[in-house]
Amino acid sequence: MTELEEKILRLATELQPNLTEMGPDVLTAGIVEEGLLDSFQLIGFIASIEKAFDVVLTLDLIMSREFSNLDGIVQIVERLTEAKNET
Amino acid sequence: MPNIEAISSNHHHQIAELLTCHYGKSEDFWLQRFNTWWLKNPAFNDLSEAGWVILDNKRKIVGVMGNIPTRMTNAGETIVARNGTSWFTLPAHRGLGMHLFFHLLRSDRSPVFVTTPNETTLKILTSLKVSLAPRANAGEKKMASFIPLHSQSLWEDITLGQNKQETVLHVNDTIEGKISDTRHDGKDVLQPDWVVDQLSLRDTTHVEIREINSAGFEFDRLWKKTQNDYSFTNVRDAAYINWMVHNTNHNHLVLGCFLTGEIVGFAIVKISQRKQIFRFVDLWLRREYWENAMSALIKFSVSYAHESSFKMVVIPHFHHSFTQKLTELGLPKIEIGDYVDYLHLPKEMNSEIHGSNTYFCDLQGDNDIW
Repeated sequence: MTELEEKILRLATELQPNLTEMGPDVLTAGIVEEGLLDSFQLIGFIASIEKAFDVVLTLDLIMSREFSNLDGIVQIVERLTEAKNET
Repeated sequence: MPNIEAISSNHHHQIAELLTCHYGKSEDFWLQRFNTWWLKNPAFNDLSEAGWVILDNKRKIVGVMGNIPTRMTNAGETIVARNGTSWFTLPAHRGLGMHLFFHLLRSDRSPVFVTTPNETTLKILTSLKVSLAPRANAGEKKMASFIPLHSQSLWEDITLGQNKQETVLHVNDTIEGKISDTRHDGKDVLQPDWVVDQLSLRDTTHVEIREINSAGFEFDRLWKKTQNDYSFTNVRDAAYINWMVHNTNHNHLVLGCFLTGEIVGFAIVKISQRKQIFRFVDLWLRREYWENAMSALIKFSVSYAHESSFKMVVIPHFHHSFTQKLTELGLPKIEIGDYVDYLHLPKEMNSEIHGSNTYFCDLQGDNDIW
């Protein structure tokens, strides 16, 4: 697991500790589709990511297919932080 | 593994059962609502989306997100908007609730309104960065003009703000806001006689107001003449009026304005005996006759509401131009709270719709249809 993956997983497990029981599947399981996080946890998760990485997750990004699992979220955050560093 | 399905008529009884458990009322109450939302709705057809349900392994419905389609005009083209309603998921399946919400928002072509959010939904909308419907007066409080009818009962509903110039009016749980009238102390504008003296209504000699029980082709003609007044707004043809007239869930009065026999506009008014407020929820007038037609509507409303012992007539400012026009007619103003009509636009519509070309009323989203 990369450092970024670990960091994002940690943010998610702070809100939903049960995620740790899923093992490696946690990265590909559907956050919304499979109900890994309920509405409040999802709000908290979005806010945590934005704060931790100083990025803005737009509605389009949140509703994108990519945002449906932790693997995809890692890619989004990677892209956003790279873009931020370039500017 | 639970799954999500589009709502079909086979689900109606189970959804009614679920909503009865959560919101109370009765199953018949909800089935009656579904009739209005879908079966009698002029925007609804065999291909329409009525919303989505979550089914558990035994095919029991454990969550619902309703959608009430409505017709809107966008740059001259009629489109169908989604209007979210009655979002509920049983506690054991809460994790999937957001899935329903995303289903509502994931729309390639339709604008999506959420206009009756509870506290939780508000937090979600904010977190997802869904915007309020665009308005020319963005950021301002929701304003209305009003006419007091029974000062004695209104005086029981007012409190003076910290600054004595500021009078806050509470009428039941419906109107709560700061009276903003620069002419006089707020208390004066609660005196019906004083307010009536201050009115400077236009000539209404040739304007007739009629209660409409069934809208005919004249309303379609009016819509054809006025449909390009705003780029993005509700379709207001005869079918729309009839849907409102026959909406038995809420007590609406449709008032047609006729100038020498020709229709020049209409108002839809919510009359709530319990709340004692005569409140405009939609208003559509030909621009060239606006002041005269509005003056006649005000006269009619005051007389009707007075006879029915209402406390006040309230006319929300559906467009920023109302503020000046209604002030010129002599009506005092009141802040009636924050806008909570959230609108998510598909990407291609995003750049076309802005505050200066929109017109939103209080029949937006599931308001007064719920």
